[in-house]
Amino acid sequence: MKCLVCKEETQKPQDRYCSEHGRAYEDLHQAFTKWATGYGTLTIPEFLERIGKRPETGEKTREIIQFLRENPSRWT
Amino acid sequence: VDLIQTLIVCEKPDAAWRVARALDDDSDPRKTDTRGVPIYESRRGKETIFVCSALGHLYAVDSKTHTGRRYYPVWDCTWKPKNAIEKESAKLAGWIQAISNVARGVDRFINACDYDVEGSLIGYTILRYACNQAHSKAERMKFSTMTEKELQSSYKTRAPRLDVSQALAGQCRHELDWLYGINLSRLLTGSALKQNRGYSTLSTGRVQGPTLKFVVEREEEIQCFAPTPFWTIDATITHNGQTFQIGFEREKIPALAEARLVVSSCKSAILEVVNIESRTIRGAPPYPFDLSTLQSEAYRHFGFSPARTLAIAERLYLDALISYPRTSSQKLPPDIGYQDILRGLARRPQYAELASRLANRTSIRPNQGPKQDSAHPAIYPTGETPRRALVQPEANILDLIIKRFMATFAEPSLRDVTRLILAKDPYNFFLKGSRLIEEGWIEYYRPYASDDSQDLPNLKIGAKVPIKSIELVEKFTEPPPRYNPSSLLHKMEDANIGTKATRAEVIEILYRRGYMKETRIRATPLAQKIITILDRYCPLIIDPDFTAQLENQMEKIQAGLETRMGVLAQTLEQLRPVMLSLISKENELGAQLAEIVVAQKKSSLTFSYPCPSCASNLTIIRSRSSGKRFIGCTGFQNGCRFTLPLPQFGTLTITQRTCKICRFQLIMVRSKGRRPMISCPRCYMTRSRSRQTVDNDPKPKQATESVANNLLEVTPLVKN
Repeated sequence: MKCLVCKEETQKPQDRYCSEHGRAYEDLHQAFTKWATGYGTLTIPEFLERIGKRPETGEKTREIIQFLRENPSRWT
Repeated sequence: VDLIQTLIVCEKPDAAWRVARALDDDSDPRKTDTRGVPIYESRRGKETIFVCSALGHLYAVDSKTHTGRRYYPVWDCTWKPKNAIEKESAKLAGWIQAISNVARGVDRFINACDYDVEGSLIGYTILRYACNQAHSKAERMKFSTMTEKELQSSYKTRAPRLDVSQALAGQCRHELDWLYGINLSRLLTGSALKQNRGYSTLSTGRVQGPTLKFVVEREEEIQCFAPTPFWTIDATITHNGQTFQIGFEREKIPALAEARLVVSSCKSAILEVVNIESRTIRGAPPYPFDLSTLQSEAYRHFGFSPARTLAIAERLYLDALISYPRTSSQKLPPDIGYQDILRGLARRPQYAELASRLANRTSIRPNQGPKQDSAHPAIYPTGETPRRALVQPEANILDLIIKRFMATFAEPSLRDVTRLILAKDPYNFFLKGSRLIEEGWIEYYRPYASDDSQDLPNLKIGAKVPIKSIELVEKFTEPPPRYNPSSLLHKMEDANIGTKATRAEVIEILYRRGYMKETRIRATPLAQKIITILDRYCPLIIDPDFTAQLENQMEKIQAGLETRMGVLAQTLEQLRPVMLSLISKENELGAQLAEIVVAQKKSSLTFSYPCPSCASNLTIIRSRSSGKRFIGCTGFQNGCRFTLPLPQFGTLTITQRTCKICRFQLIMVRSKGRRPMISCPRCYMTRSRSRQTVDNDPKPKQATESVANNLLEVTPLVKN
């Protein structure tokens, strides 16, 4: 299986992302919980837009944010 | 009269000259120059002492049976003269021959190379291979400084035998590094080359691999980082017209609502001093310098890379100004003569006052650190005055070492630290202040240590002060910092990979291979690909624990607890299946590597600054007709003719730095034997044109002149 973001080969056939994008995806999910706690209410698109603008956000995380904004159904 | 003839082998020509001078009765040894190889002849009573030197290693590991440079896997190795292995070392043939000629009529052999694994091995191989197996009867001089006194004493008290276990440990290290490096590097390079997409040297090794893994892991952490918000409270109070910043009880507040509540509750509130905590902190003097602490202090204060610091320290050692720098000891034994050194330092005006103060004490004792090294003490100044003018970097490092040495003997510093607790129910704020009450060692270590006292308002318990301002500040977590050469070296040291002598060099190699770039180290895509491949197919090779385990085994050889052959056999047992498995996947690996090599080559030739004429990419092009290189526009086919000239010699790198005048990306040119030069190709061309205008016009306009002057002032090649 190829990574949905960068088309690199994934480590396991059932994986949707390569190891780096997979890690960025997991971190993004964990970050969302903290952002939601921090700001009280926050929608996922709003979160993706705001975190995408932060200079601290990593390159791979930015790529997965872009992918998720284009494919909102992939946020599960 | 029976004259005894002795041959002493030193590690470097400068060291040979110092040893010869120290041992000659008249301090004036005779120098003979055989085919460019200096050999000194000293007279000492009835003894004639020939002192020769190596030039680093004269012998190296090579394959016993396969001489092809691209052949792999290779399982056998032997020691050969370096000139028989590498073309660049051709001049060593004459060097070895000159040593062999002197060795013929000699009765006694002494190894006086640096007393560490590498030094012992250099002397051992020369005595064994160039001096007709003289290693079995050779003696060993041991010294930590190149002062005449210590060299003479070391000659008198020399050991009757060589430190063979140290040399064998070194031999084993070279053989292991060679077996790993040659096999894995040839496989990586060869598999990529077989894809017919161009040549690129790809290397990895026993120490390189795990070091690169640290960098790549950090790069991944940064690239996959997702920041999270938190809030802090910024508040101030005023007292007697002075404003003080106060801290909130919680450093980070995870929710905005909570932070808002704090601010609204405390706005214009009156705080009451409910407690004052005061204590005196004793700041122990610093430990004496071991190499890695010196490297990290030199990086912090002067920005010197670890490799540069080591090179400078070695020059100072050869000038007998400091002790042997490749040490991991933080201990200064009394037999180095503390008082003598301090009295020597007191002869130099800038250290006279402080050094005399210490020297005049009846008893002094350094603050010994925990690290030990059986071969050498911590780095210390010899107390001798430089006999030549030192260049600024040398003077800086010497000053740092001298001040550190003096500071280790000084008293602790004493600092009063006070913390005021200010309350506004249910919240607490605090105000911290500190005052240096006794400078102690800080006085000796200035400007490398400073007094960072902070004043406090004079408030008693029960006093009330209003909050002047309070606001919440939104902040975000940050990714871990990138390694720099100094912190990477520390990481290697903590993980026990490489040696104090090799770590800095490994970091330089990783830069040269294009695996890392910039001072705040970034791993390149090529490095990420290599680590991904090695991690997938042979994780053991880049496992720092495995490398550390090998280091331990080599330490055991040194201690006589393991044999060289035993360690080699175990390693081959582990390496062989890994290599065979990699070879079976060679095509797959090669395809992945070749792709990334091509991409990296392409990106290394492309500027991120767009073409000023058409905004396409600018790239480095070599003309097919003239063979000259220049900057051209990729929009050429659409009619863009923008070009800029480039230097025609040296290796070019496009840096991430930009020109202060025109914002164009700067280029760096590296030429052998010269320091890298950084310049702006765009300003260079503008300057050339301005010059032409000035030359053509006998009375140039003032504006043109000022532009030309400005450019001339700012744009000459800047030394890196």
